[in-house]
Amino acid sequence: MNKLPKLIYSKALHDYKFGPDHPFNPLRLELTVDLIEKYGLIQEGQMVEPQSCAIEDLLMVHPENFIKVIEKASQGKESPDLLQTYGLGTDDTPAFSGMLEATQKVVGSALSGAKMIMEGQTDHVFAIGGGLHHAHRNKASGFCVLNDAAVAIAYLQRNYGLNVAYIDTDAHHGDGVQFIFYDDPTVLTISIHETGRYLFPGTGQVEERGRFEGYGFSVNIPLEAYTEDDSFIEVYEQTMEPILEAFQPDILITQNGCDAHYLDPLTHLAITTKSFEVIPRLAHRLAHKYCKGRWLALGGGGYDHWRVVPRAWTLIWAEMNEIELPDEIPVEWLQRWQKESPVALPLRLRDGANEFPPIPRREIITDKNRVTLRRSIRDAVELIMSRRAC
Amino acid sequence: MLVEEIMERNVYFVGPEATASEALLITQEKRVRHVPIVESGKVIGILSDRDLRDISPSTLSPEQDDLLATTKVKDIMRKPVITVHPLDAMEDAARIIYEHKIGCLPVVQNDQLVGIITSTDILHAIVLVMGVAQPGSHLEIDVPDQPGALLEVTRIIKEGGANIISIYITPGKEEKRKTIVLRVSAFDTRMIIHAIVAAGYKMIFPQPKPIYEERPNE
Ligand SMILES: [Zn+2]
Ligand SMILES: [Zn+2]
Repeated sequence: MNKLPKLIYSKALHDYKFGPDHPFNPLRLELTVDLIEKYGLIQEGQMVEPQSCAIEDLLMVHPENFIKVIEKASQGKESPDLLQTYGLGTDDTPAFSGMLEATQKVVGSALSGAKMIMEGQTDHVFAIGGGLHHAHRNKASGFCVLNDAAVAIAYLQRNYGLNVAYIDTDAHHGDGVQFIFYDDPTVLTISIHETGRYLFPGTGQVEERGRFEGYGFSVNIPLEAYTEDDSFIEVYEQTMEPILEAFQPDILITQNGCDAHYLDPLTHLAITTKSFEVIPRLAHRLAHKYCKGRWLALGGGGYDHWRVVPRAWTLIWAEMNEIELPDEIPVEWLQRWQKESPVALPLRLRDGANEFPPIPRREIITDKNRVTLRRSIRDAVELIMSRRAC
Repeated sequence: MLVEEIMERNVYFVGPEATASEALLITQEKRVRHVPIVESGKVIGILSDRDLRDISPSTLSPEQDDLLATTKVKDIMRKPVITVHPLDAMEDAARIIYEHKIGCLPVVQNDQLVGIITSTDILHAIVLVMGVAQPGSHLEIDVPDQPGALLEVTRIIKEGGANIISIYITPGKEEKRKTIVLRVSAFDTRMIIHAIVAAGYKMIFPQPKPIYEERPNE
């Protein structure tokens, strides 16, 4: 590997925050990048300052009136009623001062990641502040104001005419990205998530397969609550390769929300770092197999920012750099952060085998996930193949 | 929700003298499962695509080839037909479809066919009632079967700043209990869940998770 992977991060990304008690806390980025640094995983030139995107970049995906509302809300000058219409001003996604500029930096980091890859500076980029997958064209939702993944995808389509595969392993359905490209056969979206029967946003059923020309190019695997590693990994590994083989993408974009961890306060899946090691490993292999190595990884959800996010995302960065990390968390990191943490920080990078009491209905959960997997990919591969042929 | 709000108004039908093959063609071209037989606006019978396929020629007996073309629908149609009125409630239509094990109900007003409602239309209406079309989180709460519980739960949700997208109440798992099933427009439902538990109700889903005191971000 001659071109080193890039990590897009600086404290400028901390401006994207909704307030002191809000779970989407930029501290998780700081904790993660500090762990990466304490592990000695950053070489000269690998860390890249996020760049703001232009308003014109946003317009590839979001309508002008929506951006205008965000701009006014950013200055505290928008009426509460109009904010509600656009999904802002709720407790989940409240408007905040400087919101537009902060979001432009998040979108800009995903967009410049895509640019760096296409301009040949590197093959792999981790835009750690990105992954705002719930933002719709016309509406903010679920902590996401604008959709960075969608803007990066639109850029790749417009400038390079690429077929883009987007894989979303956040515990929540990647509804924004899916529906923005719902009619589009050049963007394949695959989302594995906790079933919308229980979890926000509620969509992501197997039957959501896309529409019109895009029929077949949305793939959803809704998992049962309390799904554990073995079932999660089985479903993930059996889905990705056959579908990417059928689709033949030119570039891979992954959304790496780590809120499916059993410690996460907002979701009900029960996986551990074992899955968070498997997810980027396979993504990395598939990027080399199908996409000449082009792999843009984004962050995403993850609300246990002391114990889960730093470890899960350090594992992604290590995989990109093909480094096998020792299991002991660097003592300097623990020393720096333990006094501030309300919980005992983990001493090991990887969770053990018996982290939590056995899940009561493991067998039926595993079986249901297998049935879902079969229902989801049975038609998906065939549909993609037949559509690509014409 | 009334039948008139969810029925299909554009109904494909045939007259009694039509042939089975004409009716079969409609099911295929219009992608419908049922064809009402109508005489002067009145529904006098109905045929399903399965009824029609049953008289289609099999490859084993090609001599029956013209059976479809020579059979008139009036001779094979099912009658009498169970119908509903546009002002019937959606749940009544659902119960009729369920109890009679049928796939659709013609909608009749002043003795005239004005629409049709299928089991798929009813399922779609239920999906809307359950509010799955909007982003939200699912809550299931076990409450005593007595006045006031619903009021208190909805007050807690309001105080939590969330909107209720849909709500229904099912019999509880035990005697004299009910389960309130809600979708609320919140991504983070922890505060609501803790307030519900603090008010003395039991969460069926999700189980409450601990909330840690955070240092305020800089
Ligand atoms: Zn999430
Ligand atoms: Zn590589």
